[in-house]
Amino acid sequence: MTKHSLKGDQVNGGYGRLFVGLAKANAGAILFSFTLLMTMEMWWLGFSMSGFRFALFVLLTIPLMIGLSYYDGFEDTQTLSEDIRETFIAYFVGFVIAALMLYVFGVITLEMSIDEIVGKISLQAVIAAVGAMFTQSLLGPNSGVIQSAERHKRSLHYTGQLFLTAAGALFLSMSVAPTEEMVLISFQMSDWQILGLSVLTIAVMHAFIFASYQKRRKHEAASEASGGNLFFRLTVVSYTVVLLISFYILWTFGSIDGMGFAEQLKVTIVLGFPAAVGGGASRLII
Amino acid sequence: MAKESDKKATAANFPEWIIAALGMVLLFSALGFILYRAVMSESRPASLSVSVESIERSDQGFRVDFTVSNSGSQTAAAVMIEGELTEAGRTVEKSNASLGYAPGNSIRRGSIYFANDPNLHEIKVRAVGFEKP
Repeated sequence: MTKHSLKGDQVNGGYGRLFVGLAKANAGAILFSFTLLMTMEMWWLGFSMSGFRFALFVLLTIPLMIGLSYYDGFEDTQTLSEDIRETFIAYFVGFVIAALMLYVFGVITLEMSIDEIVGKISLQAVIAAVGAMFTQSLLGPNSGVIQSAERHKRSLHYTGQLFLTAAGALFLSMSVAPTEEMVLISFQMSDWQILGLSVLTIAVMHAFIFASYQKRRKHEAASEASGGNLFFRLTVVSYTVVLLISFYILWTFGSIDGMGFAEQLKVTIVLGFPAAVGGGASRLII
Repeated sequence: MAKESDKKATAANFPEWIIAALGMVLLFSALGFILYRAVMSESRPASLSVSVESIERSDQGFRVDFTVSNSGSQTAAAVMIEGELTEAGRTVEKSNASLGYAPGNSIRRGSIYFANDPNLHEIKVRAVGFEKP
């Protein structure tokens, strides 16, 4: 509501809206990325990660961001060009926040090589940018029930639901994947415990999916799935998506390099737990 | 809601497009840089050399400041640094330090303590090993 009155505001005009948007984006970038900005494995990944995997990761965030802007984002977008604009504003905010915070924390110093500085900033900047994009759902005036009808409808569709699950899973798994604990936990667990965790994860996912279904049941677009249908159409498919995302993140960060397939699968299931919570929560929030 | 103010909105959006363009430039230059380094720089294993910068008297004896430079492109983790004072081929004292990381093409600093005065002996500081991250 605030946004619409600002749009029509002759005094503030585009600038007022721009500053509100930027302030929210900055807040979101910090809110969602400070844990990673303060994680040392994340600094090291900036220079020790394989260059190709790094580049692929950065490249893949572009469609992710445009998609997030379409479904969510910190501005109410109507066209694709607006989504693209949103996306790159978020990247700008991400780079500024990452460079500033890493410098303030003393993670980057001027005597470091350019490779190290660019690597450290870029990795954090991309993640902060995704954080800036996620902001809308928590800080935006359009969150929850007063979200614009059009965008709300978009996020209810099947592909929209899966996309938001993937984005949420990616985001939450990124914040824990670089830590050594993921691999350590998988070593500590027996095969039965791994199996138990994956059942638990599916239960948590289904709870989130059921909750968001209840919340949206009254909308036509969401009425296509129900009951057991909901479990197979959404929960099982979402868990598959979550596991794929977890595996991709572990591969990107090089956490599971050189492991046997069974061990890789175990770590993936361990990481799948926070990823599933992220995926489920993002669907409930957005 | 959007249509009535489309033209006005385009003009008002101008500063937003500038910021978006800056973001685009930042992102693609970072991406280009990362890709360029990945394609161009052949992956050279970490190659560490240690040089002594200064020797100073301190509370715990003598402090020797050193720099470790990694001229390879790969990162060395958990770098073990060993310092040795010798006198006519005979070891007088050994001491060591460890560094968390020595990234490729970068310099890292550290210090090592000796009880004996390094100025009176021959000093050697070298990297004895590291872990591949």
